Amino acid sequence: MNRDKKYERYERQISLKEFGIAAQQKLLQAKVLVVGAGGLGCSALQYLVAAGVGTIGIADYDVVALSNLHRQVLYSVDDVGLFKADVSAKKLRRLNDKINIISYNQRLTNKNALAIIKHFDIVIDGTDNFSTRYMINDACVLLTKPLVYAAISKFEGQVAIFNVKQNGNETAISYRDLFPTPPKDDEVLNCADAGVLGILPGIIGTMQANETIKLITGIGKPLIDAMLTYNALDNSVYEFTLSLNIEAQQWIPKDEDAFLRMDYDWLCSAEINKVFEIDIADFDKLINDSNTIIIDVREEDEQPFVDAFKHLRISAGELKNNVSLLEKDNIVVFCQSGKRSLKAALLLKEFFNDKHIYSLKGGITEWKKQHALQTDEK
Amino acid sequence: MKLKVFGQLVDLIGSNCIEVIDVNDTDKLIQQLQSKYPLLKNSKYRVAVNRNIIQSNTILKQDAEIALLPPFSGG
Repeated sequence: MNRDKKYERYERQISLKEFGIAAQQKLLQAKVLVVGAGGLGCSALQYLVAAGVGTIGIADYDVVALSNLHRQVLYSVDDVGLFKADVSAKKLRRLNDKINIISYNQRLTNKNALAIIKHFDIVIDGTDNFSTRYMINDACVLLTKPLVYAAISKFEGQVAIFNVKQNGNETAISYRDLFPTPPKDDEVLNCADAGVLGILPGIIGTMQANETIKLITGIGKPLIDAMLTYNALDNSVYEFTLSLNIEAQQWIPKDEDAFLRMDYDWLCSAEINKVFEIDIADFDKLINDSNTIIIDVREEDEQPFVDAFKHLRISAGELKNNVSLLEKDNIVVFCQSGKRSLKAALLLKEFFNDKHIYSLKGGITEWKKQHALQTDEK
Repeated sequence: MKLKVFGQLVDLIGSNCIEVIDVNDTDKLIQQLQSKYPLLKNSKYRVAVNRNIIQSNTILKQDAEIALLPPFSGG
């Protein structure tokens, strides 16, 4: 291919004097891995592909759902149920067939992350959970790969570049310098729980792509050692200056072996909790369901005594010896506050991989409280 | 002094910007906020003074701008 033809599709950005042919060549040689082809990923990917980043990896193990379409704009109704990594790669190849797009149709974990990330220069975090975010951060620290981070919540987004040394610092700042450990319990909601304005990941994902392009080409001032927050409701932008945190280093695995031994899911138990926990409204729907069995896993003498709905009483410690009693498809466990029942749910899941296991969030304390409130309102 | 809050802390505090008075360092500020908003004790966030994330207790001058930044997970 002659040179003019090769660069024709990029001529509008090459004609920028700050950009030029040199920046385009850097882009074409760059290898960027996008983890998560959701809201952020769909948006970042389109512009990185269009801009001519030479090699782009897409890692995602999820399938397209109808409720994704309001923000994950690479997908159509016909794609519902199909793997995001495959669908996005196919669509993006139509946008730019001159670059190399590799889809990783698998969940990125600490078992495969290093092997995959090694092939790339820059990683973009577009994931939707803390366990993967911390795992990617640690992998990038170990491999000294720049991490272009973004995350969203309702109407707000955060963007930052981690793991790039600046100002003569010996150590680069990572996400753990900002938040050394993930939040416990389920204090931070993801998009599924908190909701998100569809356009927000569009805006934040394109900012992520922009930071990536700046980082590769060396133009402008990338968000190194800084975190930008954007609020879609009032268009406010706030930039935080980040600094090293002595606490961070103790949490980052020291080497590859330590990284492989990490249990990121456990570290972010909140993410697992969400799989099992149900709220009062959903719990009440299951009370009269003939295919559901409800178990109080508190000790025998624990108050309050519950007679408002039919249930079995098997203490958490005895549960293991009584699994044969649990013949229904849905098993719901509750305790005083929801903590023991959550552990019980995890245990039951080991016995019954094919059953639906739920734990009442907030326990019977919260259930009684909510029902007392409802009675008062009447 | 102005205190800006982000993300889920907006719901917790009820506004994205409040006035704080009678505090001269960030430790005292956090104490004051926690007694007014007890749920803050269970929340993870970082404190910034004049847009710099602080690593230890920091003196607050009268014109300081304080911000609380929580982690987000959505994507």
